[in-house]
Amino acid sequence: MSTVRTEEMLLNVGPQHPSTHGVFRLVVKIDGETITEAKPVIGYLHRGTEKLAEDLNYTQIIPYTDRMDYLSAMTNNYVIVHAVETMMGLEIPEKAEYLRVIAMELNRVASHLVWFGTYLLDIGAMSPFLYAFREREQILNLFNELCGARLTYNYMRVGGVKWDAPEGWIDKVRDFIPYMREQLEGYHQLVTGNEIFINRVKGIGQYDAQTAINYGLSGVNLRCTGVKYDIRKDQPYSIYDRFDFDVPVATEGDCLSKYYLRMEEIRQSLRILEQAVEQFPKEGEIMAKVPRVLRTPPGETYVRIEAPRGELGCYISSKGKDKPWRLKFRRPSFVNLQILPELLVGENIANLIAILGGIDIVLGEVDC
Amino acid sequence: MEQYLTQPLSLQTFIIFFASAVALLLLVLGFVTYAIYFERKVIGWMQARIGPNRVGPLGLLQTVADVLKLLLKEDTIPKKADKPLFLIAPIIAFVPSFAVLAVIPFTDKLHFADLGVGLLYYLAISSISTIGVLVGGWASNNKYALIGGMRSAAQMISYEIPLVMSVIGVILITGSLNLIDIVERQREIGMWFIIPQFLGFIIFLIASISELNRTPFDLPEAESELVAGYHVEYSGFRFAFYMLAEYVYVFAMSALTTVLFLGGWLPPFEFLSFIPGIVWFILKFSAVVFFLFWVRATMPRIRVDQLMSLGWKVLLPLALVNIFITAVVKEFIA
Amino acid sequence: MSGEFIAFFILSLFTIGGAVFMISFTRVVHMVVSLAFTFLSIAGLYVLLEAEFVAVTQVIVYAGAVAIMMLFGIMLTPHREQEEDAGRAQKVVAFIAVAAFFLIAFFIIQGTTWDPSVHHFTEDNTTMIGKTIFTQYVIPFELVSVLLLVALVGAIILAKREENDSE
Repeated sequence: MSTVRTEEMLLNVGPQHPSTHGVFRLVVKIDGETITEAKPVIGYLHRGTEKLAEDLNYTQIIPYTDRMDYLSAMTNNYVIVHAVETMMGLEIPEKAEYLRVIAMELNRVASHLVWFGTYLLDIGAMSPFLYAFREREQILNLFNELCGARLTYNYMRVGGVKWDAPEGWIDKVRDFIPYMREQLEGYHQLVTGNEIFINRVKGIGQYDAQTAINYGLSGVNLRCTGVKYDIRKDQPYSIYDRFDFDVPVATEGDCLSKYYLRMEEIRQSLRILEQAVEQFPKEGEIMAKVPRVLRTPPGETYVRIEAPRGELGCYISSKGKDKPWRLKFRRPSFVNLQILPELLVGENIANLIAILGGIDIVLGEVDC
Repeated sequence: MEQYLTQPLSLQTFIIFFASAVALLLLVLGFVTYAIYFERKVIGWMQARIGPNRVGPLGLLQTVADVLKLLLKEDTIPKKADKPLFLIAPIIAFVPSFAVLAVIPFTDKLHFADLGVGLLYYLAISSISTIGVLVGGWASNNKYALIGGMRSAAQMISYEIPLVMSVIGVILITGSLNLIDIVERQREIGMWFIIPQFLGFIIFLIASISELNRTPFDLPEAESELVAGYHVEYSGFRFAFYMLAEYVYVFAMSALTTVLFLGGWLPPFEFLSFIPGIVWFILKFSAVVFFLFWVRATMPRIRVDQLMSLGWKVLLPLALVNIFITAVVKEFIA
Repeated sequence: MSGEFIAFFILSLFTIGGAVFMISFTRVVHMVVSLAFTFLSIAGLYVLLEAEFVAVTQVIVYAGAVAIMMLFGIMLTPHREQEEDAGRAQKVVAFIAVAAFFLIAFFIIQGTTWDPSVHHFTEDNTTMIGKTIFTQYVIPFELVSVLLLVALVGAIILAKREENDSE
C-alpha cells in the first residue's frame, strides 16, 4: 500500500515572532505539525561588544555589558569588574561587596520573574505575565533609587560600586522580601497546580545529564538534569560563602523541572537577600583605593559567576595597558541555545515554543 | 417565518423583515462593542491593570474608536493571496454567526424565528463559519494562517460532536428541538436543566468554549505560536469581520447556554417572577459571558494533540454516558 | 410573485451555478467552496419544501464534510494550479454517460404523475420523521447504522496499518 504523505513545509519562526523574545530566527521544517528539522539563525543583534572593548578602557566597558543580558545587567557588570579586580588583585570594601550581592540577587529575582511571566505567556496564559511584571516593577524601583537606571544600571566599578545605598533603601529591600514570598505563593496557586500547564510542560524537551554536559549547558538548564552545579556554592566569589542557601536540583530534565527550579531559585535568592540585609554594614567605604588609570598587569585571566541563565564567564588577556588586548564573554544564553536543534526534532510545533522558552535565552546575550 | 414567506412579497412584509434584521444587527453590534470593552475591563482588573479609560468617560468609547480605526484602515490584500477567496472568506465566517441569532429566544415574547428545529439550526449554521476560517487561512497564502486555519477546522469539527451530543440529554427530557419549548419545559419540571443535566452542562460548556476558539482552546489564533493564526494577513474591515464573528458567537453561545441550561428568562424562584423575564435573561447571560472572560484570564493554552484527545477520548464518551443515563432515567420516571 | 418563488429562483441558481463552477474550477479549494454553495443552496430548497429537519441535517453534515474535504485537499495536493487534459476517448465516454443519465432522468420525470395537492408538514415534522424511522423503517435504519460503523472501523484499521508500515 502506498503511504499517504503530507507536504513538508519550511516555516520561518522569527526574526519577527512574538515568542522568540527578540530577534531570533528559527527555520523549521515541519511535516503536518511535527518538526523534522530545526536550524537556529542568530546574529541579528550582534554589536561586536568584544571587539569594541579592545578600544575602551575598563570603566568604559561596563556600560556595554549592561546591554548583553539586559534582564540581568547587574551580574554582567559584576563579571567584568570581577575579572579586572582579580587581575589587579584589589581588595574590595565590605560594604561594596554587600551592595553588589544585594543588587545581583535582586536582579536574579527580577530576571526569573520576567522568565516566569513570558514563559506563561508563551504557554498561553496572559495573567501571570502581568503579575510578574508588577513584582518586577518593585525591584526596578529599588534599582532606580540605587543607581538611577531601571534596566541598564552601569552600577559597579572596578574596586567597588558607584553609588552608596540611599537613606532607607536597605529597609525597602527588607520589606520587599516578605512581599515577594507572598506573591510567590500566589504564583504557585495560580499556575503550578494547573492541569493544562503541567500537561503542556511535563516531559517536554527532556534530556539527560550527559547530554547537558556535552553541550556545555549551565545554570538551570544543567541543574534540571540532576547535576548540582552552582558557582556561587562550588567556587564562591564575592561574599557568597557567608550566606546559607540551597541549590535546588531536579532530575527530570524537562520544562516542568526547569519551571520548578527557577521558582525555587527566587526563593533561595530571597533567603540570600534576607541574610545580606541583616549583615549589611552601616558604615564603610564603597570604593577601594584604585589608581586613576586602571592598568591590568600583563597576562590573562578567566573568571566566572553564576548569572541567572548559567555560567557567565569573562576572559581578559592583557598586555599591561589600560585596555584589554582581547576580551571574551562566555555568555550562558549562547551556549545553552545550542541544544535547541536536537531537542526540537520530532516534536510538535506547539512544543517548540515551550522548549525554546524553557531554555530561557536573552537575545542581547546570544548575539552580544 | 413561513407565513411571511408564502405571502406575496409586499413592501410591508419586506419592511418588517428588513427592520427586524437591522434592529437585531444594531443590538448585536452594541453588544459586541461593549462586550469587548467589558472583556478588557474585567481582564484588566483581574490582571492588576486598569483597562481602557481614555476615550470617552471611563473609556466607554474605546471600542468605538477601535472599530472606526479598523474601518478606516487600508484593506491590504497580499500579492500572492488567492484574491476572490481572500475577499469572501470573512463574509462566509461572519454571515452564519449573525444568522444563528434568528432562533434564540430572549423571552417568551421577544424572539425572531420560532423554528421547530431551532437547536439543530443553531448547530448547523454555526458550523458553516469553519469554512470561512479555513478558506481565509488558505487564501492568505501564509504558512501561519494555513496552520491556524487547519487547526481551527480540526478543532471545530471535533468539538461539534460532543457539543451536539451534550444537548441530546436536554432534548430527551424536553421532547423537542424548539428552544422556547425547552425553556417552557424547565418551567414545568420546576428546575433548570443545569441540575438534572449537570454532566451535559459541563460538556457543553467545555465544547462551546472550544467552538468559540477562546482560551484555553484558542489554538487557531495562538499568538505565541502562530502569531495570529488564520487572520494574520487580514487588516481593516475584513479583519473586523473576523473579530465581529468571534464576538457575535460569544453572544450567541452565551445566549444558547442560558436558554438550554439556565432556564432562559425564568426567574430562579417563583416569588421573584415580578421582575421581567428579559432582566433575568440578561443577568444569566452576563454571568455566562463573564465566565468566559474569567476563564480567559486564568488558563494557559492547551496543546493541539491534547485538545484532540480531550475531545474524542473524554468529552465524547462522557456525552454518550450522559445520553444513556438520561434515557434510562426518563424511561423509569415515565 | 411570492417571496417563495424568488427564493426558489435564487437558490436554484446557486445550486446549479455552484455545481457548474465546481466542475470548471482548477484548484481544489475553489472547487470545494463552490460545492459548499451547492450544498447550502440545496438546504435552502429543503426549507422551501418545509422540510426543516432535512435542511438542517444537510447543513450540519455537509458543512463538516466540505471542511474535511478542504483539509485533505490542502494537505494532499500540491499548492499550485494544475490542469490535466483528459484523453479523447475519456471525453467521449463521459459524454455518452452524461447523455444517457440525462435522458433517463428526463423521461422518468416526464413519466411521473405528480400529486397536485399541497401538504403542510411544518407542524412537528421532526417528530414525524423520528417516529417513522424508529417504527416503520427501523430495520433499514439499523442496517445503515451498521454499514456506517463498518466504514468507520475499516477506516481506522487502514489508518492503523499505515502507521505500522511507516515505522
